[in-house]
Amino acid sequence: MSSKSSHKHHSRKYYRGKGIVSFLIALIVAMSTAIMLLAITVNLGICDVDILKRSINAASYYDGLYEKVNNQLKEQLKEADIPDSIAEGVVDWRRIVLDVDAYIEQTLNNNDASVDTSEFENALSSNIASYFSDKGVEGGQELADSTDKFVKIASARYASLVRFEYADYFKAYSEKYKGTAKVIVPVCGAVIVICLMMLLILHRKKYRGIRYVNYGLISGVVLAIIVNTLFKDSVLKSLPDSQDSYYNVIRLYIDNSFSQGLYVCMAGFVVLLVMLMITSYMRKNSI
Amino acid sequence: MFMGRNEQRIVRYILIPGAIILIGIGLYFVAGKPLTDLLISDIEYSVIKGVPGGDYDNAAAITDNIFDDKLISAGIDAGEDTSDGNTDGSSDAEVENEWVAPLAGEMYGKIVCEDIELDVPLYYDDSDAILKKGAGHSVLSYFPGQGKTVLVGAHDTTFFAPIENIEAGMEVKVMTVYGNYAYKVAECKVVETSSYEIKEDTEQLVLYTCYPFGEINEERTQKFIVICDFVSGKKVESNRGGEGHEQ
Repeated sequence: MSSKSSHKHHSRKYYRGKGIVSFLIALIVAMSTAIMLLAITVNLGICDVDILKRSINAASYYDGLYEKVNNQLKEQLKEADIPDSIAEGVVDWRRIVLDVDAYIEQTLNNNDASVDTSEFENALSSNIASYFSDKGVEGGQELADSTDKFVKIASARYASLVRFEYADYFKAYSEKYKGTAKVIVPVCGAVIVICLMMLLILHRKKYRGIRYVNYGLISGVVLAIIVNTLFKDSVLKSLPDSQDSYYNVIRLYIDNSFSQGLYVCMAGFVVLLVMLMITSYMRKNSI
Repeated sequence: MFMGRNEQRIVRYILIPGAIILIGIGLYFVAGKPLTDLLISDIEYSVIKGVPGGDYDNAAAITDNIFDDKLISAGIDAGEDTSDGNTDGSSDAEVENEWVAPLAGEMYGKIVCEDIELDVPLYYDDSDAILKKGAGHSVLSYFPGQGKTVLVGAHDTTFFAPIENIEAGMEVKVMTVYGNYAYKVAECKVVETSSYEIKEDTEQLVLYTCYPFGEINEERTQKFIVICDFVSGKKVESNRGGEGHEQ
């Protein structure tokens, strides 16, 4: 009773003004929440090398690359008018896996990334020498020079296919956006805290102020999900409609990256649930 | 009409966030989209630049007669079919029949000229929207490998700005999702008209852009044209390409 009697009554205009200010603060909370969740999504998704590596495995990239390298070598052998059976045993699937992984690791660790083609070169030279030997051609310097030239070109093409150069560009943009996210997340967090404090000051009953934070949180999480989905669709649409194993990796990587966004938004919903419980407790106790 | 306090609270939890979400979506399209587009273009660029095998030349062409002397001395016809038996050995075996042509608006490769540091994404279609993203391949012309004119345009102020320095004899590479093609610059000229005759008997890559270079002037009617002769690349067949007639 005493608190009721001490409560100062304000005009309708005052309450409407307070409602509008609270709504605007809730809007700022929503924008900050959405931006923060999207920044975390970019950080944990697009910029996460583990997602890229998992996508390479899941999209059977090594199988596709093995086939591509083999076909390319066979084509080169045919162009040189020697049988494509010479390619047998030259390309090693295990070696391709090691070379691709090593290239990615070296690139991400700022080392000069290169592909070790010695096994490939030795096997191909040996197979070519065996072929000419079987045909009764004497192995002189001229044949050695021709073989060497052929193997060097084949080896350059092999290395060119095995180099996963997307890693170079991934490194560049992930560093850029990770740096941006490191600034955005604390700034947005600070904005949300300031908004919360302003709402607590603005409302005599604290739970009413927190309620506007809840409105902002709900909207922010839903907005983040919508933008995340629009964003993912735009990126996927920008990719060529090719079934090449490289593009399959990229598609899967984009898909997995943005799926991280949904997990991040779920965490946002958990925070919201806690806030709703706090609001309910405060309202029941008239805080 | 009359709601209890609980119902009012629930309605508020729907209406207020709903209004904020609508405003938020509006703000995203006005202010946020340019930022997300920046990330999309970074990814798009990385995807194009990172295509494995994109940096080799047509090495097979270099090695095509490397063992001829040895094969002849061994009594083997250097031109005979040396595959393991699946092809019939005719020239048709070189034609890629399973090739699927890109759709309009699809990015399907890139154009590279190392001498002038030209490296731009290549899209099928040359609409205004496409020319903001890269070079546009005219749908009235044909695809690389089809043995006809390949007509590609881009803005002189952005993607085709380096073309100002192109000279006869330079190599231009078109790397596509279905194969790599090499062309040699035969002629560069300024023309008064925006039309170009599509040739159906010779493969030529024709690059065009507005002229004079770098002038932001809607009145420009001249075009700078670079005609490149086909050097190497896989033949392809398709009923797509040349979707129209003379440009």
